[in-house]
Amino acid sequence: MHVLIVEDQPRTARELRSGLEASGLEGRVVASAEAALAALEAEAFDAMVVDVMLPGLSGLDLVRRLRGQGRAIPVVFLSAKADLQDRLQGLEVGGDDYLAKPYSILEVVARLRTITRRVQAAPAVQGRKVADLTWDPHTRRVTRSGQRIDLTPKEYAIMALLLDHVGEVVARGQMIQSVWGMDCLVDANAVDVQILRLRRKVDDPYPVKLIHTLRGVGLLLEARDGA
Amino acid sequence: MTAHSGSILRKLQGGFALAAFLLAGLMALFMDRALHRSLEAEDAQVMAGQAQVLLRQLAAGQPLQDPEGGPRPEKASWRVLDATGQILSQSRDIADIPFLPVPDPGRGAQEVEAPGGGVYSVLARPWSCGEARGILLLVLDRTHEEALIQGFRRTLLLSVVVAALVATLLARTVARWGLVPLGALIREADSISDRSLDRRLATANFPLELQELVATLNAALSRLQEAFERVGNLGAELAHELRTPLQNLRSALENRARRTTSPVAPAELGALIEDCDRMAALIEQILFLARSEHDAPGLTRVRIPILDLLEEVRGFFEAAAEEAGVELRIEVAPGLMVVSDRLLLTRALHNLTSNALRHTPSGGRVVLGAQAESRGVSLFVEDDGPGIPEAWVPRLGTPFVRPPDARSAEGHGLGLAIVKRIAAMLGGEMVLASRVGHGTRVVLELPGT
Repeated sequence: MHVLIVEDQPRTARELRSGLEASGLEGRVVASAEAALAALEAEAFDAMVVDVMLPGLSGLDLVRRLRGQGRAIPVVFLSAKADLQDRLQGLEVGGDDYLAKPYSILEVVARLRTITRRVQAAPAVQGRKVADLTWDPHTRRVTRSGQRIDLTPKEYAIMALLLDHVGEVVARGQMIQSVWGMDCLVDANAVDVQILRLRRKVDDPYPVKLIHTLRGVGLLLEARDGA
Repeated sequence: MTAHSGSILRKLQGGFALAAFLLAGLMALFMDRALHRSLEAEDAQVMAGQAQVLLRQLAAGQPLQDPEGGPRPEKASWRVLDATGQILSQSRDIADIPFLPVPDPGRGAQEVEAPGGGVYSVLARPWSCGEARGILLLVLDRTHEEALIQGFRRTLLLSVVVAALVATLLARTVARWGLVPLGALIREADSISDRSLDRRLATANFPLELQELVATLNAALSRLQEAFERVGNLGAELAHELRTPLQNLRSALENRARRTTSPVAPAELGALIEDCDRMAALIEQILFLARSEHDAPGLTRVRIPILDLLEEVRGFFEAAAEEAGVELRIEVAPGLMVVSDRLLLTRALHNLTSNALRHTPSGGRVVLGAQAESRGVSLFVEDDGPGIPEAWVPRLGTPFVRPPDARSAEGHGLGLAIVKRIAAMLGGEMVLASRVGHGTRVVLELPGT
């Protein structure tokens, strides 16, 4: 995925690009809306990450102008302003998503993947097998070593999200958004407990651990050490 | 202040009425005097003419005759007295006139009121014919004239009263009409809220007299807008200034955590990232509280089924409650609704539930509930934890204020302050009641609509 990063803070832009690249995305940085318009003329991009506060033309103005020109390129806004009003404004001018700073780069990646997938066609949900774990999304059955694991609806939602991204880090914010439909301003302890309980059911009775926590970053489901 | 208070309308109206009354009164007085004088002058003229004729006849020794068939109907009766006051002759009609005192012959006609009623003008003139002398008395009945004047006066008085009344009513209309621009000014000024401080009153729309006021109001608005913007921008600036470096720090840590191959380092880096997130949450909370009312985000009021809302909150905390061995219960009549901002309510309930769970020991109980009140709905979160010392209760809800034994627990004392602010934003109030050893109950009293 080729992503245009419109961000005037050089360090913020550099880290973001480096993070996107670590997730296998390709990034190009421009420091102003004017430069972004020029870059879009010269190159093809799959998505854009736009800082709202830019010198000169603002990020909102930029996207409004793009939509006015009929360009449907998916846009994630990044902003130091985190109010609902600001978010709504971002979506109103034609943004596809809005993340408040400080964001997690993994979450930016997740949002980018979601909105580009939304624009293209959603892939059919298929069952998965990770080590001795199997998942059938149609029957909502999760088993390990052939034994069915009883999950609460919330636990199943987390599990399904992780299984949908096997081998990829799922950002914590992405999980909270997806499972509870909320932003990150929630009781961190309640989220941790939920994960703890899920892990107790899915991993604790078995020698091979599948759910891995990247502290401060997110969760990852994969079979390590070739297990 | 009090010297200028009261109603302008009433003052204008009173002023108009008083002016009309005085003007009409003065005119009536003047007209009355003028009529009186002109009638008097006419009478004097008639009598003087008649006296002259009679005196000439007397001086010539002719017998006196009533001058009849003159152009004027007004005619004085007369009586001729000798030097001793004996009546020598008199006109026929004078017999009907009551006896009147004889005025000084050297003076003009005198107005005399008869004891039996009636007003008369009496003129006395000395006469002589050879040796004979005496006084000629002329009497003019002015009773009818007086009646005329009285009638005229009544009419005048009535006109004065009517004029004053009409002026009062007219004054009301005129004053109202004159005050219309003031009303328009008030409405226009009233429509300017703290969200539309960039608007100004259009000077051209108002009459000359109000333009100075309009200009003053506009200047005050400009100063207000400037002050509001300074405060509002401070929040936005602060958010930007604090979040940008935090973002850089977080991104750098995140990238390193993902890049590193050491199994220990990610945990350490993760702890730092978590610190970043905690700091970000703290910044968000402080900014939420620091925001002035004018800067507060707009509310989205919707009808919310309360059971649904509480179920959602319980769903979020269910695992945490189970893990802590605390029963998390809902007590609400199904179908109870509240019209409010769902996001803000959710946030408040999250804060309260999180607090309650943190302070309730295993085996305890936390109740999320709501009940209809006479003037709205109250939502509450109740625990049977250790409670809060009475002395602390009034201070809770103030940012960074926590009871001493709560210091060890996580939190900054901002949660309750945010709940309190949310309650105020939703037009309600937060009420906290606690008893040591029995538990704590925090109620959000919300308006009905």
